[in-house]
Amino acid sequence: MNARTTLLGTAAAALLIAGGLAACSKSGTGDAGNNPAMGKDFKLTSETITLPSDADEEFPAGPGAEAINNNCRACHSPSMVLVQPPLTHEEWVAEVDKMRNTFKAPIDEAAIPDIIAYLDGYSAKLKQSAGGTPAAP
Amino acid sequence: MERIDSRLAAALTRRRLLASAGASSAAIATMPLWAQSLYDLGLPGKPSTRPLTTTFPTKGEMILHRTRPPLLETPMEVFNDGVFTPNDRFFVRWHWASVPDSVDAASFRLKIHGHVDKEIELTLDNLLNDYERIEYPAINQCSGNSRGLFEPYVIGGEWGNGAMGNAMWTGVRLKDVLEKAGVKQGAVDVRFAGLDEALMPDAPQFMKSLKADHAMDGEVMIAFAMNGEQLPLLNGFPIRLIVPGWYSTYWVKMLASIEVLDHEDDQFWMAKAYKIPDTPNANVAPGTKDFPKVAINKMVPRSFVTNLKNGDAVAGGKPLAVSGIAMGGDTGVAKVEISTDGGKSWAETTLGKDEGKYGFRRFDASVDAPATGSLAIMVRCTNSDNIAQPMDMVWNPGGYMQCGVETVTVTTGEKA
Repeated sequence: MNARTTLLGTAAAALLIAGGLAACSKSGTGDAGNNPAMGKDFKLTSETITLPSDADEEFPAGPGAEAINNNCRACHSPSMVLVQPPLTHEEWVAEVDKMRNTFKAPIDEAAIPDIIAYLDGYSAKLKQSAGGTPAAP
Repeated sequence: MERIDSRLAAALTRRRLLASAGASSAAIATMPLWAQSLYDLGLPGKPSTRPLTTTFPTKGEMILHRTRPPLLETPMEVFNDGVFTPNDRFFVRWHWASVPDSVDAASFRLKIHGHVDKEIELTLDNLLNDYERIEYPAINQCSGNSRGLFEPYVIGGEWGNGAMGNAMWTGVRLKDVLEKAGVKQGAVDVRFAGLDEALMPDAPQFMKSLKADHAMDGEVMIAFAMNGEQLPLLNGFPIRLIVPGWYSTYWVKMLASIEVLDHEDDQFWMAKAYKIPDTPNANVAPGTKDFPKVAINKMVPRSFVTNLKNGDAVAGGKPLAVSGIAMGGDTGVAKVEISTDGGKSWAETTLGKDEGKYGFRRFDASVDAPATGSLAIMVRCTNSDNIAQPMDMVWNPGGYMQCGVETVTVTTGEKA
């Protein structure tokens, strides 16, 4: 078990260790009576994290890149698209439709033809590279 | 409404910023600076490699599928270290990019409302002090674990096999909390929602429901600890639902609302999403679209070799140790067998300690490695209900519930 590493990686570590529970760092092995969270002095401490930014992640250059960069990154990183299989034109159209109508993505309707053109180009490149990665996500 | 408006404004501002940046930038997307190396998931006919990242707070090295909203997969090697998955290597999956990045323990409230005698709000201290604590190991597995391995391909999160993990969960019985509020006669479903909200104001908030009798079975848990520690925020701090034996989609993170319904939950995430064919192992012929559908539910047996991976070179002409992990699904593991002749004959492996029926079980075996050549090792789990993994991979249009027998192929010969 890697509980010790986990402990060190959290803000709770200091409190747990101060509480004398460091000796229980073998937690999670399932041994009866060895789970600090079953103890009455177990406490929960507020957590705050800073998630990594993906502001520098853009779609690779190509026809329609501007449209997809401007319309598809408000809700998710480009990698969600760039790890997909080489979808057909109809499948890409259905995906963009799902994003707009089911998930209410604020996609500019006028940009849709360019977005689809980009995605079709992505599939074509992916097929050429025989399923390899055309660009890092 | 204020919060919704501010979220929308932030999204639109972001769009404008991106628009102005995009117009002037001819930047080609290259591998981000923080991605130190690539991990090959062995996915057929699609991008197969992903960056390994250590940039997510409280997480060690993870396979990065998507930064926002986070999709992080556990490398298979981690499962070779033990049947419990360390918190800092446990997979991460969020539906909406509006993941709360801060939770205040003192002001947090869990609301129990709807078809109940009296609506109540519980503090974390209430949960820690006012109810009997329970603990058990249980596997948390994404409904779409292994989707990337589907053939023909399925659109979605293209996971390898690592969207799963096993932890010792500690918390209180959902039943005890529901009884405190008093479930009224005629309750049908119990619906769960977390602090995460939909990104766009009219988009469906992520919510999942269990049948009332399932919610009251005394096993479903509101967990405040994972492997003896509070949950990492990315895994649902301060509390999440534990539905042992069921897929992760029901294990609502940052659980903040429990709503008893007097009718079947018909909102998007129950009625439209996470539907499977109503067939054994959710299996249908590839391309099939019309079939009776049900909401995804119980897990099924799976097993994985963890000390070897495809393409490894091993010493030939002597015994080769084969070990790994197995799960019974919604019940325990009865046996794990391996085959080196394409499934014609099977040899039973030695099972490790039984830590609880909903957790991983280790297996160990030894096979004779030929002096030179290749060796394909198949592994098959049978659970306590005598359900065995199917020999072939399953297929359905959602890419859910993969459970076919896995094969690891290694080359044997001279090896230092």
